[in-house]
Amino acid sequence: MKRIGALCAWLCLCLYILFACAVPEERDSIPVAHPDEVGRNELCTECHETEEDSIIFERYDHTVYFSNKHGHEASRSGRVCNMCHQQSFCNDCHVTRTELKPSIKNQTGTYRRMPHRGDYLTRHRIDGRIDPTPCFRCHGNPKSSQTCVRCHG
Amino acid sequence: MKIRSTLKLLLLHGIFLAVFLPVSGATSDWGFQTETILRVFEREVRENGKDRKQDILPVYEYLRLDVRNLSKEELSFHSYGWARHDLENSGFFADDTEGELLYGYLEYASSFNNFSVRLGRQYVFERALNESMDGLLVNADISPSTSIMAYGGRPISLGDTDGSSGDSTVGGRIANHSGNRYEIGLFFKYVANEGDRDEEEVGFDLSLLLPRQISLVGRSRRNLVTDGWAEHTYEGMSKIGKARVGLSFDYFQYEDFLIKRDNSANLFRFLSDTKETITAFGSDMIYSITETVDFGAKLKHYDYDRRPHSAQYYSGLMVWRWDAPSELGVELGFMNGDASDNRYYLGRVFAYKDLPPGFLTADVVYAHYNEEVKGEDRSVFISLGAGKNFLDDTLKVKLSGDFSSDPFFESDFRGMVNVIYSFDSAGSSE
Repeated sequence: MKRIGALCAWLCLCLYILFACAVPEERDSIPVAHPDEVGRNELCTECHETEEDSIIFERYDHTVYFSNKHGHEASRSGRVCNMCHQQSFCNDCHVTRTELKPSIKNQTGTYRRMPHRGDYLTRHRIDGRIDPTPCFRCHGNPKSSQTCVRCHG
Repeated sequence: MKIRSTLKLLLLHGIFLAVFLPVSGATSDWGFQTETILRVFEREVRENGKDRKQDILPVYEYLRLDVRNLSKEELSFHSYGWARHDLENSGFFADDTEGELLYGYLEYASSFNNFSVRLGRQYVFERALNESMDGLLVNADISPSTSIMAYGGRPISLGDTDGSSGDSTVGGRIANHSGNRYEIGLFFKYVANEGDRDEEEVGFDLSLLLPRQISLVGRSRRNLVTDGWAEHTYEGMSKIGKARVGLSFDYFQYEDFLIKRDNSANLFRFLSDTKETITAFGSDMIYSITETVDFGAKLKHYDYDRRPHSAQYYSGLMVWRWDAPSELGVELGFMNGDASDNRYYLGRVFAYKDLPPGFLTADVVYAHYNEEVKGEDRSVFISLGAGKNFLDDTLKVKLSGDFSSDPFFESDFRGMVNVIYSFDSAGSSE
């Protein structure tokens, strides 16, 4: 039964690849750097029309909630982010092991509304009970959980 | 061991500069950023069985180096890491590593077919694939409508678990896309610790642009070790007049998402045993009242399979930008758990005043807890900051002072100085 399942999976994959290669629409190459310097409050859609490009620019607009929900966009195409941000900008938060939490390292970056600002030591007890999955995404492996070990063991 | 990890970063940079820069000096452009951070705060440390108050004075160095056009236009090197030294030798950091190389890789990136190869320590972040590793990553469009990504190497996260000799990770994704109308991907991930299967998962992701500018993105992930769905996460967004409206749906099975194997953390393992599932529906909206004033609102509802409780989070936000990037924002939130100890109110005021070549910042966060924690039912956090740029903005100095009064710290003062020097021979980015 397992062999049949595996065979079906391979067949689906092969059909998928064949289908994929048959659709002739080319994706634009994303430049290494944005041609112009972009200000912090400027939105992508001020210059880019979503209909005309292979990127859904509206999803990359840095609105007031962008810092809370950029995960889907960043994971869709890191090269879009890298046009303006160095990799280190992302790795200040998304990393296996760092000691300074982002809200401390960027203490004066108030406009980012970082979620761990203030007394998160107390708030995380409630947020963690209600939904531990966001905690797990960042602190879920042996190295990234070092900050938790002092109390949680 | 700690000395070795601290020096690793500096050594790598040194070797690279010595070997590559003289060779490629004529054509390469390069940049670096050094950020030195000095913090001061007070904590209780245990010495000879007694607690005593101790000033903690750590200094951090974050160093980034980028070299582009290495003999070929498409070839570049990138590295970034941090190290810390405790000036007071307080013992506060005794159990912690003194530094880490976060990434250090050679990259070949061609504009042709979005082809790129990375070799070295790097962070892989593609849809649900999220891995820090020493290894090789390849990205390419293999046809006008098909992209592939594949990686393999040694996972960093397992480095301190039973040694690292038999650790490995491989993963990949194949995607079909048509402009920005849709993209559908299939992905796979495998992690082994000491040769034993630790994680194995497959999944699919999608991105759709529907009529009327409605976009939908999301992914589903299946854990092959536990043979169950770890997550379904989907999110839609649309623009209606001057408002942007978002809807989200999340579903997690703790047993399959909060893995119990070696590549997970102790504190999540007991949650995995609860076999709980969580379903969350969310909505957010941003409305531009005027060109300078934005209003935002959020709602999220959490439901559980086993727990008899549910919870909702509501928040509202108003941001006024009078002379961008200067802004003033006010945010109010309410976590409303059915259980009495799962409720809190949150208030926040944040401000950024641009005063070229400097700036001033302020942040105040107030929380009120429905049930007391360590005898306290509220917390106040105040942070004030200032910064100034020098030498055509290549040198930035930032100062900040924080005060917190909360259930864990009656009165906690902290100070920090950041000195950032950046050089980029071909312009700069953050």
